[in-house]
Amino acid sequence: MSEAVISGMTLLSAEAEAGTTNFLIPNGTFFFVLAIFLIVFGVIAKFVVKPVQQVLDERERLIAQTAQDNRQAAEQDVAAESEFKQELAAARSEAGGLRDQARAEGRQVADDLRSDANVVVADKLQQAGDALKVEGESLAPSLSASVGSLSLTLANRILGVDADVSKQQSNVEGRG
Amino acid sequence: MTLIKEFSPVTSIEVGSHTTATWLGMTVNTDTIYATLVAAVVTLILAFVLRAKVTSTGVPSGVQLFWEAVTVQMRGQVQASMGLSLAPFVLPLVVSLFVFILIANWISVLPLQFASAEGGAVELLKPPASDINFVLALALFVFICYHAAGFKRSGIIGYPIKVTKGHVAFLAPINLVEEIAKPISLSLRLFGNIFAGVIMVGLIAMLPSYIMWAPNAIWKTFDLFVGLIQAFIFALLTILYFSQATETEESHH
Repeated sequence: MSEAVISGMTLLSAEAEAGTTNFLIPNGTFFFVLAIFLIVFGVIAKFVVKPVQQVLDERERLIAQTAQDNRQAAEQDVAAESEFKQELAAARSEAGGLRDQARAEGRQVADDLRSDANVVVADKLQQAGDALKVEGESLAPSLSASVGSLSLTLANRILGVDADVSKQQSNVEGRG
Repeated sequence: MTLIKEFSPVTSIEVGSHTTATWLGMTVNTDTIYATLVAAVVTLILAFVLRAKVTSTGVPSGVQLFWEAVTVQMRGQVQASMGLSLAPFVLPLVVSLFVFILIANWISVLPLQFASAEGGAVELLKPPASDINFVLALALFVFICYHAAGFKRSGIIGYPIKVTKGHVAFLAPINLVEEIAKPISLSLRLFGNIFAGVIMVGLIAMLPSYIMWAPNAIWKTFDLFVGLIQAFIFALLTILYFSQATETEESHH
């Protein structure tokens, strides 16, 4: 390897001694390369960097827009949920009110019916009582008329003697 | 290519030799111009493919992702060192420089070597940056551009005073030397790296063909990395020089 370097060096120095051009001195190539680079520079400035920057800006704008959309959507979501909760609470209290009202109405109806029934019952009792009294009263004279004879019969049977008061008086006097 | 080497083995390396012609009364290295044109055509094809398919809402193509990655990276660098508004053409300039130099450097990875009549290893497509004309053209263009930007920013009289004087007056000679060194170092850095790559390939080509492929593959892989790094450094230093030229006293912290 080192021999190769040395031979290269000798070649280089031989070239220099022979008066060939020094490759470190620029020549006309400079201008052609410069011209080529200027064309590349112009094309890149116009067709690459400009659109790429536009794309980057546009993308940044889109990202910002999306972030804002997200934030808005989240806010709307929160608002909708609170509204939903509010509505739900209102509906719930309304339902409770309706339930209480229905319960009160039901109780009212039941009370009314119960008082009506009480009236009817009292009426019926009264009627029954009256009927019984009338019947009793109608039966009482006949029954009380038969009380004397019946009790005489009963007493006769128990005593085994004629317990007729009129007769009894004479018997008592006779004994005495 | 290996077969060709077996028939006519490489026995020496040729350093800095070019095929020349006379165009418009000037001596030109046709091989450099040929390789530069190939690099330019590849760059332009990439540019026009982007132009045809660029999209901001759809799925970006691979070409668009490449250009976007380069543009975003360079825009970040420009913004970090000088801000985009000071010299709006810096961004397209550094993007062009980076991609153009990158493709020009990567041309050399193609295994298109043959042995010349004298027994030296010749590449069909030499990396253009191994020619001093290529690097000087780019570096001097950058040199002129950033000084123009400096004149525009600090004025016809103010800018030369600022450049020479720097922070303290007695460092003026050093500042002048630094200014002259900038385009030289910028160009020779790129030239030296790529030129060394060409010499390495020439040396490796002198190895026997049954072992040559291994160091060749390793070196060309490394050369890809060198080409990328050098293209990036060239673009980065361009940004740095622009920021130095356009900064004002107030912007010192």
